[in-house]
Amino acid sequence: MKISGSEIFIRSLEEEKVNHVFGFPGAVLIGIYDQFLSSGIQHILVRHEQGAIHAADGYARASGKAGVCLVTSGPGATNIVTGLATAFLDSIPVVAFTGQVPTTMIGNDAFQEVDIVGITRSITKHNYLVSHVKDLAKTIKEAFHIATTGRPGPVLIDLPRDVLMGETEFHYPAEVSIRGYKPNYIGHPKQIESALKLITKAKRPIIYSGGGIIRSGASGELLELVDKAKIPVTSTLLGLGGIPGDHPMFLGMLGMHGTKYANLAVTDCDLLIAIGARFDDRATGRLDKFAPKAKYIHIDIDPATISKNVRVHLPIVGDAKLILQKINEAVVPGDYTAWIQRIEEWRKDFPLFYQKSDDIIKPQYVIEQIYDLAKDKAIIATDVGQHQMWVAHYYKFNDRRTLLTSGGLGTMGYGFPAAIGAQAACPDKLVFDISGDGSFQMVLQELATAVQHNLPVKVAIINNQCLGMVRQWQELFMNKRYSGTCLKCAPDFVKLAESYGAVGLRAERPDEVRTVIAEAMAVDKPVVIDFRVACEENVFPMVPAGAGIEEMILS
Amino acid sequence: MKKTGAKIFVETLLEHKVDTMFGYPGGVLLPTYDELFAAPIRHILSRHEQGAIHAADGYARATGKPGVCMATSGPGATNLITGLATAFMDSVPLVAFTGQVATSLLGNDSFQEADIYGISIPVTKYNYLVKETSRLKEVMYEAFHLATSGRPGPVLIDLPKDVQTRQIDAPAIPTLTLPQRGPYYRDGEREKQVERILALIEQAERPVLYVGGGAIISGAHEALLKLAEKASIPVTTTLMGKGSFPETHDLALGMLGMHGTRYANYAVSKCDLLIAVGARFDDRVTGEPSTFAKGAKIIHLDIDPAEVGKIIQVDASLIDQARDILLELTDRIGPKSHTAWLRQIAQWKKDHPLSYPKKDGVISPQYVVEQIYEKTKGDAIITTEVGQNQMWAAQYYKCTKPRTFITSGGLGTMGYGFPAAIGAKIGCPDRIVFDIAGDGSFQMNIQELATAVYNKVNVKIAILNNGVLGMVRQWQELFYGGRYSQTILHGNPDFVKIAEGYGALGIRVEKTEDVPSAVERALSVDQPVVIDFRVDTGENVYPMVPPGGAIHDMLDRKE
Repeated sequence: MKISGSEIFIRSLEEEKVNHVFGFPGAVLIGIYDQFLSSGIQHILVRHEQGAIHAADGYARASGKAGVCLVTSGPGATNIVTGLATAFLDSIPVVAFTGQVPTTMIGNDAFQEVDIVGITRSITKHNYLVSHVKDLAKTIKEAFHIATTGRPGPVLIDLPRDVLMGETEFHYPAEVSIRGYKPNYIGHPKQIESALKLITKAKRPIIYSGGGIIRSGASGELLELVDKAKIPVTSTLLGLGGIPGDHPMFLGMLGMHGTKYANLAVTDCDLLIAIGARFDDRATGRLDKFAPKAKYIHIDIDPATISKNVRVHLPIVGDAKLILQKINEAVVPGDYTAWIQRIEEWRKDFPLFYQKSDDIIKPQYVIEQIYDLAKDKAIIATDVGQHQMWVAHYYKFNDRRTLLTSGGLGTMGYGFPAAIGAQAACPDKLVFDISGDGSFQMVLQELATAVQHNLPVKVAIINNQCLGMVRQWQELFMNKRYSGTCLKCAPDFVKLAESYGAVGLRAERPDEVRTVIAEAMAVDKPVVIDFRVACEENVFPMVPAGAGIEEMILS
Repeated sequence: MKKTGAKIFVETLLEHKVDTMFGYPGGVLLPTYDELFAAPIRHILSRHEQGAIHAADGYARATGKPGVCMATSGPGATNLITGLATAFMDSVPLVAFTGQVATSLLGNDSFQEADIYGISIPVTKYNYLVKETSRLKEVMYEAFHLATSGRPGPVLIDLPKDVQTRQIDAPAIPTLTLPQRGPYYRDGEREKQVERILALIEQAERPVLYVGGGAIISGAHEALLKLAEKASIPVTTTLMGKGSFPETHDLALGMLGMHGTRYANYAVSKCDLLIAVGARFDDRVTGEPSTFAKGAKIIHLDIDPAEVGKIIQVDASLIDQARDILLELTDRIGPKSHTAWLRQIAQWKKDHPLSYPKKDGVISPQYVVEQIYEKTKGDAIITTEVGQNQMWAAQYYKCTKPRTFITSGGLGTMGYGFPAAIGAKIGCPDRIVFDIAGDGSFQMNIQELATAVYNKVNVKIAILNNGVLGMVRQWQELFYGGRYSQTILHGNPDFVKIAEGYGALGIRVEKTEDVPSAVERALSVDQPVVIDFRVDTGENVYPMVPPGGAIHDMLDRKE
């Protein structure tokens, strides 16, 4: 029996066991939206398409499954560009569908036409313009395959209206085979053997772990290696949660706002084992001062990242989980006792700290209290800037998939919709978005989405009334010439929350912080908490731009 | 004397008389923002980069000057894409600056790096990645020239951090050496085309002028009025052409196309000569192209040769500024009366006026637009969002002056109207600026209330709040058996309370009789106002050409 492209779309998603689609309708998608009425797939209507794609991304990060979003042609499609780039830089499996004008009108500058395939070429893992309904099912199958395998990433499928209206037999392929796309999962045995030798020979090894640990589900294997071989671990922002944050061998985050002891350890190590990390500039600082005494092992699923930013001595291309299993089977550690002692001294000498206050709320204190009250129950999303770094410092992530943050693109406004997506994926979890007043304003319209769909996300606004990270740089490097960073005219966030039917709370004194967090956790509704924090608090330690990572400003 | 790229940047803006820009800072733009700190340029900080670019766009449309906006690298830059595409489709002169990571980090997937040059190729008229500080000034001169000349459009300049910080010898004012296209006509050929056009007009018995945004961009409204009156040619405009011809004039037919007036569409279908001026035969105008002005000779007057013969074969064309062509044609054409044709059109106008039912107890959205028209005496700058609100605004707010109707026509961008209103008001502080919005569209850029309040930009927002995504809902009602999938906006906020939360004035109107006083009150206060008009959810935009139909075949409300 022949069915329409719109029905094929829905049936294909059902084949992929998709439960949630985040989207916003439009004229060219009207046929697909009609199909939702007779499908069990839940469509979550957002209030701006940027919300849809970030929600799909948060859904994917929290669940490990591909996130799906659906938006109309033209502005609908261009509104997801930031979200695609966000997912792309952080290797998140998202399948994004965009409506398109009928194939006969493509190229006419038709109403709401945009060349979204051209636009998104550099920010998707792959993209498609489906030109015939016969290709639709196969394309969707391929898209999910590409998005979720190898190094994951966003895939976009552009759906012209006539393709959705056309009819054909439905046949969903069981397998896909794509020429030129065969990700390699098994690490080369010889390379693994060499790595084992380097580990045994090393005196001062360190593991530098990234988001790849989480994407490949390798945190158990990483923990086993660390416990077995007693190698200290530092992590990138995206790698947080890959190893328990309170593990004694964990040094916290490295890089621009890493801990001083992680950065000193990296600078001094003689063996750097990078796993699922890509030597980003925020992690490495000045490259010639990054781990200058070390041999580098680089374990990564994506051969393109090998020796891209730094020359590595020993690459192992493959899946982190499988490779770590092999290493764990045979690892013979050296004696690193002296090394670990030295690191422990650094840890004692240069702890993370902030000036506590009884009069004014310190942002770090808010995060410590959220951690204390929410601990292992919560998924934390963040926006971008100072609060993001404070979360990385003061919230201990003990489980993978509990931190959702835009690391690569650094997208302000990511956190709140991502939290909505995570809450949809994990209805029984507590989901917090720790945000800034600048970031939250970028997507606050999604309060309507959270309220409509009963997604009881808690938003903690670290409200310092400015674009804090840029302000910090202006304070430190531009003589406090605060150009374009003052947000003195912000809305009343409590009133705003209430006008959406959410709960609004405010804390202005340190002794109110715990009470409002507990209050927020007690209600089964979306909550916005306006934490009025110290405005000129800075994120320390900090590596100035262009410096080596051991050259940190501590306060 | 040595100067940094950032200093050169600011100086070059000043050389282009830029006094206002819209933007949002970020790490890689620190050097430039530091220069802006003391510069005599008003920087309007938006709350999302999309707000900045739409505001720059609204500023450009309202003033005719290029709009300038700035966003940081990565997400800042990608947040501009919708605004670039919006400006590109509607030929709006914009110069957009994006920060970029240092040239040494390009291609490394650095923090907040995005290939905005590659991404924005399909949605800009031209774009640049500046790699040498020594090129910066010249590139900026080229960009302003390209954005504002010919068929205007957005131009993007990507500025790596080291290009901003590097010091070079102060560059001189460049002489542009851009390769010129054209001239389009060899000796005598232009004159031949003009003669051909004159002959076609001379022979026509039932001519129609079909006027688009190009007439406004080229400042052709006076020339258009002269030609129409001298040759007695009725004028229909596209959505973008609104304001190019006074809609209160006897020769005005209003808008044509999918939601045009019946009489405009009938006139186009029955005409024997269609003169397209600065218009591009968009599908929302033509319906099924093979049925559009069937039997008529078609003249296409446009600045962009790529538009001629793209959608529809034409009988004559002229590539030039609309104003210049129309003045020339007016000079050379003899007076005409077209009495029978004008009588026929008058009859159509009488038989098929725009109308809507006046219902008791529920506010008709059209009535709200009419009241805004009344209370502003037709003299406001109107911006719109996209959807039903846009079409009702186009149908019921009669424009008489160019640059007074600001709307996203080509891309159809929901969320455009409010930031565009902010830009328009900043560009034209003495004008009343009203954003006619829908509840769905307004939510998309609601965060810009902070921008309006902080900068005391006294725009008025009229939300035609029907609680649904009305245009899609209308299609679902008409073509999908009333199955309203995902078009009902459960969980809408209390817009009055939101306005108050931002320090703006919020007004709610639930009864028809309160509409006029609410509009008056909004106009009387010197602050941003959000009016939440609770309008009839079931009201549709009529008349309507079903998608793919012929434009004379219109649906109307079932009585």
